[in-house]
Amino acid sequence: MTECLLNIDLGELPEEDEQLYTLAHVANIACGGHAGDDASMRRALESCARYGTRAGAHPSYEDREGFGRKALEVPPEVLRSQVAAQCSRLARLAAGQGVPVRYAKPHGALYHSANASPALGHAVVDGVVEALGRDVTFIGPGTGALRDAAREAGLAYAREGFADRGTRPDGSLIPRGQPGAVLTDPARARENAVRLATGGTVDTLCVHGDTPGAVELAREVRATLDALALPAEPLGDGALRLILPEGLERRATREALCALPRVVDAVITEEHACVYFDPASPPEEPRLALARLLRVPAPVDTRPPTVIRVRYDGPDLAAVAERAKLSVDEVARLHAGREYSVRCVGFLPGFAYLGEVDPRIAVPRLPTPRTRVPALAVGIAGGRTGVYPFASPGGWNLIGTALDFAAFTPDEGAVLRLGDRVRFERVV
Amino acid sequence: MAGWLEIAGVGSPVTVQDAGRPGQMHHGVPPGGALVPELLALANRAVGNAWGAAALEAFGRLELRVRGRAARVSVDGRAFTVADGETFTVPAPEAASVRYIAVEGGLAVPEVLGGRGTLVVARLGGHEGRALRPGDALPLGEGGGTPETVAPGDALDVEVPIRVTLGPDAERFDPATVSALLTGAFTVSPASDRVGMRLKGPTLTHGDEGAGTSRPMVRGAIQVTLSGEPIVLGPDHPTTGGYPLIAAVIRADWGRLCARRPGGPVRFVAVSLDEAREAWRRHVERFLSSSH
Repeated sequence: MTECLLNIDLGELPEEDEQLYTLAHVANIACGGHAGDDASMRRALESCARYGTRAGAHPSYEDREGFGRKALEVPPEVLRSQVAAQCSRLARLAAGQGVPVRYAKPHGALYHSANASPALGHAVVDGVVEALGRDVTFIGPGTGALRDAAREAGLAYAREGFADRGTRPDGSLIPRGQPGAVLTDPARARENAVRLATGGTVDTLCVHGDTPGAVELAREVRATLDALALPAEPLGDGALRLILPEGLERRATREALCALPRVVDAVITEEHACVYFDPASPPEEPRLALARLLRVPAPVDTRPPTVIRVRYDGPDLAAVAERAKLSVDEVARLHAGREYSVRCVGFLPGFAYLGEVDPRIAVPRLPTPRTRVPALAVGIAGGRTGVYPFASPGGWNLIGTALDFAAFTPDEGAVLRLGDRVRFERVV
Repeated sequence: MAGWLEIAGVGSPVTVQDAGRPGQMHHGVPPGGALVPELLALANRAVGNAWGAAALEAFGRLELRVRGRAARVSVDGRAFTVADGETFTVPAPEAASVRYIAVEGGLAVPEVLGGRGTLVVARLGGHEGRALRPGDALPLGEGGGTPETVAPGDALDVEVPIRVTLGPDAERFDPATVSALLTGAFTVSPASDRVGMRLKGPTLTHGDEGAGTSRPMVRGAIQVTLSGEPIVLGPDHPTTGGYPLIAAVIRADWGRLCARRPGGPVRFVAVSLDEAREAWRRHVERFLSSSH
């Protein structure tokens, strides 16, 4: 699935919230038809440059009083030159600011009337091409005259859905002015966004910059689209491996995924989150749980650090010291001198991957793993350290032995949980 | 009346196994479960047990005795009655890698983290978390279910190719290597156990130096070591690992693969996710759901 982009109509209102530029992939900038002047266009283009938002032209019927919401009787040839003039005006300013204009979308009544008439559809597309060239993605309705005209002109076309507009059961928009036409509840906008973005019939979603609560709606929709754009790779027929987004708290992420219907288990590793399920009943879109956390991070209960007493007597301690050009004593001091957090629980029951190890002693794992590492051995592999809960094969550099520590109990499972803090106390 | 299954003699490793303990991977606890769930189901259902009741999974010859009461016993689905105190012999597996010995009522060892099976590496579950020894006595549960006969069909046929879904790390392998997996003739290495099945055959080279961080794993995943040897993860696999995964055996074929004995032939064929899911639905209907 290609990424579904959020486009927002901008440059329309003087008191517009600049956050909208950080949330939009594409800013449809009003270029004088229904709203906007040189000053507002410059401001919009500056914001695009600042936040990396892609700029698009948003031409309209020339009707500033009616905000371009009413269809006007304009002959196609006149319409074409009006659209071209509006787009050119934006393009000139954009060129001065070094911002490319690679998108175009007609506004309001023009959007609908041009889509219903092949003559008007061609007029709008030709006007856009005249001003912006053919390296433009035209944003418009899923089917109709605009799409046909854009295709004939060789333009890329993005089928649009409206995250903040209510739909009738047949999928058509509820006309403005009627109850339910505009969605202002973020939860409903999110549901709408999921339905549209995963339905396969739209390439871009719109949030109107003038909808009440537009910033909150846009944030909701953007987080949803970002989550749906995360890579999700099937791991066999009963698991789905997701890339763990930056900044998500690990334990809350696992709990959110585990709480989803039909998810049997969830595992967090360094870079992934993985959900497990019965192959006959996979869960619906687990990435949306991550979207919720990206929007509203879950509170995490923090426990005091677990202190593990260690005797630094491991068979690889001398080699680690030599490699790090430090004394054995210094290696022990560095290892016990900082607080770690649990990054991942896995490999063996109760085995916790702890980070970050001081870079001076972060030695790579052994070239050939040992066939047997004793239980309670303390090892280092790269930026991670951990305690072997059971005797097992293992490739970590063994620097010590944990004393009086049970990493796993049959009743409770793993003693250290994702996100827990851990300190080592040196026992001489 | 209380009954016991007593171990009188053991040839090769034998442990208590059942349907596994799903949902514990986040503790680092693998899913466990029978190596060959179909044979476990045949054994259990022949004595009226739920398909996944705790039973013995044996790699070799066994001598057993029932104490406290007479009992219906089944070996891989062939059921017979054993009198109180009577000793009987279970021959070493011939067709498959393991045999399952189920007793009416199941083995009532304690449930640990949602399962009764033995996880030897963590000394967890089963009988004292270890392989069984002569003299061990396992409590029997209450029987009374309706015996059912299940035909294995081709589920354990050694000639049938093993179905896999490709990936998720396919991009770490060049297309010739993926093709070698799907066209090569492999055999089961004797160095196989419940943790993983090693395969002998074409070397599956890849450019991954193995320094990658740990990633999630799943039973059936085919990881490829630095030397190019494929290992199919078994029920007691490490829950995370660093080797790249070229493909994963579909769940409906876990038993079909693990039933193969050392030296047995293995070929792979790629299927879509939808085909894998459909195969699993049919598999569940056939083996893992009973009519009562």
